[in-house]
Amino acid sequence: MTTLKQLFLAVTLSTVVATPVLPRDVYTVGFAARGKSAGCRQAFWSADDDLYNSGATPATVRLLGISNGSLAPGTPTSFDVPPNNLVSLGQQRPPWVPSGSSPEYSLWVMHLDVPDTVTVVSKDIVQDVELCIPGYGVVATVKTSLPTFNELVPPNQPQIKLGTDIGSLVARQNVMIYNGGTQDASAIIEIHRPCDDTLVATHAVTIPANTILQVGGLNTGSSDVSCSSEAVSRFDRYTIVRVDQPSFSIVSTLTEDRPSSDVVPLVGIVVQ
Amino acid sequence: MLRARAILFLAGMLIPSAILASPPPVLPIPLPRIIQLPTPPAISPTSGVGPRQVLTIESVPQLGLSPTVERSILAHLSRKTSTSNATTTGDNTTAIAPRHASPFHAATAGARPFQPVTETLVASPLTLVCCDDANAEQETALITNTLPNGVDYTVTAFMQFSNNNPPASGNKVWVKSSANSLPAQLPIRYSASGDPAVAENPYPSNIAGDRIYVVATDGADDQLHYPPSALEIWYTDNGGVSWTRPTNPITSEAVGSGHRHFDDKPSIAVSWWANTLGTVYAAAVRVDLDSGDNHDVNPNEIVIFRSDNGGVTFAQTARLSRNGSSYGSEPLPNSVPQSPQIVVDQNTGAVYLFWLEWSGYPSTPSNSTNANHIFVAKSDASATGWDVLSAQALAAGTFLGRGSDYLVDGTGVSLLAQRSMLNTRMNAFGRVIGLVWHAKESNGEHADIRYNAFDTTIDQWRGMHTVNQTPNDGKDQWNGALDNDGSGTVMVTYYDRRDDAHRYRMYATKLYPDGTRYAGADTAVQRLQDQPPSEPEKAVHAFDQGPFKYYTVGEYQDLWYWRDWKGAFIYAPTFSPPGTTYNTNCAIYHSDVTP
Repeated sequence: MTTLKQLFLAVTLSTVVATPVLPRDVYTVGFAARGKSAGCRQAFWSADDDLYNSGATPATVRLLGISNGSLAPGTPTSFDVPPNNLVSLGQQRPPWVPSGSSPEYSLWVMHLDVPDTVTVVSKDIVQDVELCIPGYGVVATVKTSLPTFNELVPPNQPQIKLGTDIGSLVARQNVMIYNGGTQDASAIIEIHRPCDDTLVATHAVTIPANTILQVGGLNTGSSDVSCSSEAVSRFDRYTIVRVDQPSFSIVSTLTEDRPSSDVVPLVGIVVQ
Repeated sequence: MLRARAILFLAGMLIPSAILASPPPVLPIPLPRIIQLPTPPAISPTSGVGPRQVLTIESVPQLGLSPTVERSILAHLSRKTSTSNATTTGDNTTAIAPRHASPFHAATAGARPFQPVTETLVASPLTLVCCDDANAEQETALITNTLPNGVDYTVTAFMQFSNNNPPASGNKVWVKSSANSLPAQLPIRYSASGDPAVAENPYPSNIAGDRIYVVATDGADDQLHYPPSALEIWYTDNGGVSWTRPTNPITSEAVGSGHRHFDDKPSIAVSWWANTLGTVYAAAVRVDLDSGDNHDVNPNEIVIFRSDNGGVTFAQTARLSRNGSSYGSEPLPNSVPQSPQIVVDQNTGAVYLFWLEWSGYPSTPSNSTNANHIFVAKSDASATGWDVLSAQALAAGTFLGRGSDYLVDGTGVSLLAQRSMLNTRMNAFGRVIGLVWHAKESNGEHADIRYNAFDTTIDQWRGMHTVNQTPNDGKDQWNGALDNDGSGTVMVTYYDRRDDAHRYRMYATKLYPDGTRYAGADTAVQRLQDQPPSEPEKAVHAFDQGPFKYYTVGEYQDLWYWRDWKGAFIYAPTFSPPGTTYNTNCAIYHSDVTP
């Protein structure tokens, strides 16, 4: 490479690096589901994304792809986020959801092209809805954060999620796996208890191309065990997901159990 | 006239003497007052019909009634005509004068000639009645009366959502009377009221003559419906100029009373039967608000109340529950009753109660049975002991309710929460109680309006019919309401998205009392251009579930329909026309719908 070429490349690279509006890939999950119910009450689950543009000019967010179906024909695939402003992805109309989606259970992935001036935060929202009275009433809303991804994990690379427990509370895990490849994917989920080096749960699943699905109700096992090592706690868990196609995964650990006292804050869900 | 007499003569020849000797129950209802009619008809003091009846002899064979009922009606007409010297109005109609007229034509009462029934309804352009403002009005309940001064008044009670935002600012029941230029909020004990229903004693005598009633829920929390709460009643004796709220509500639920209830979806009826004229009946579904297995009303039950003093005080006469009912009544056949409707047969004084159970109760109690049924129970005028009669079974998944209770618009994410509700009306001429409701089409998507008639002469269902012109059309029709004219013709109104995947407008359809459609097409009452051109129904936005948005245009509506000397009319909540300041919030409009 000549000096001139090296200089040209260096200038080009520095220009690229210095450009404040370089787009980036963002994979984010959308879902809606009706969950556990008791008497008059039912949990309504949903995901949404807040996008904040810290730039001085409008920033255009583009939809590069959607999983689990296709958009309704004619749906625009971009929108602008005003400068120094926040918008919610779920409020966009027409919406970016696969055709035929139902609020009772739908799960999908949006592959976005997001300018660097736009910060994305994904939210996992749970509403306690009063159903006995026609017309509904939202009694309470809680939320936690969901991860987003800038790239897919290469095939067969272990996706190791540490701390997939809620302390000593009995919990369960739901594992979302997105197959971003063009072929069916084989995936294996393992839940490990390092205290006694035990595999407490394992599950194998096949996932169609460009599809996300959730494996639910995996038991994290008892923490009433004798540890062979004091290096870890008895309640420590980690989860490994292996997929033979480009993918990402999200592990949700949930419990409705409550500590016997109220001196510690309630934590009912951990998402990684 | 000659033709009518010939029919009566022939009927008299054919009717067994036993039937003639045992005429159908007769209503010795007090003489209705006559107002400015073009041809004042004679009134029979022993008329067997109520104040709204226009008995059209020629229409009897068209009704599809049972032969027994038809013979009874013919016998009744024959006897009445021969003994009362009733005049006819020139169109083979033996008339019992209604005191009622179209409320917005009071100034020209009597100016419109009587028009015979035709196949097609004609809707006049909408006229604003109330509240084209930033608030949203829904769930209109309409009633009309004629006061001793001879002037017709119409009162509509409705829910108003302040700033179109129920979760933030609650909802209140308001009334708008044609006697007042401005609407008024009915006074409440707590912070939110809703689900208004109306009834009246249209006669000047007996208990609380000429009184109009509004019943509604009243709660301390507009979202959660937790105690304290009450079932409220208000009444007016001057056509809505002023209102009285009795000292005590119909019933109430105090804080700290153990299990938490909410008395919801009230229904009210006033007896027009002579022996109990003016007696007020009310029903509500008592909803258990406790979670898990803490149900003590299993988890719903129906409570019945009666007032013998014009709504000043009420006594609970029955509590109907799957667990076993009090007051000697039978246990309910289902445990999650919804949408109770109480109706008094003005020919016998019997009290009927209808209710349904939805599909898809999410946490079905072990003893929840008989979803997708419409139930009926009957009591005498005391409303204490109730006999559960034969239920009408519908296909599984028919009703919209609890888990599948929304209609999706063309965007796929705008959801109208519209559970199946009953609307009922006594059809004295047809000797049936008509019911309408919306239910899923055969493919499990979208909804049609259904009708069934409960024959009060034999206490049997007459059979279900689809009201809208094309069943299973892949479009949504919902929130049906019905009323009938003096010849038994039923008019049903409903919201309809047949013309646009996003926007709805009101349609009207005419039926015979047994549910058979008139041959004419459904009538569009609203013009589509009265609504916003691009937005899906905004109505009242309840809440979001991610990209899914839940809206409501009310759970039901009520309709009061008269076809008399002055035409017919309906009331409908709808969007404001373009060009007004607030064109996305519901306001209340009126349309003359003439036969």
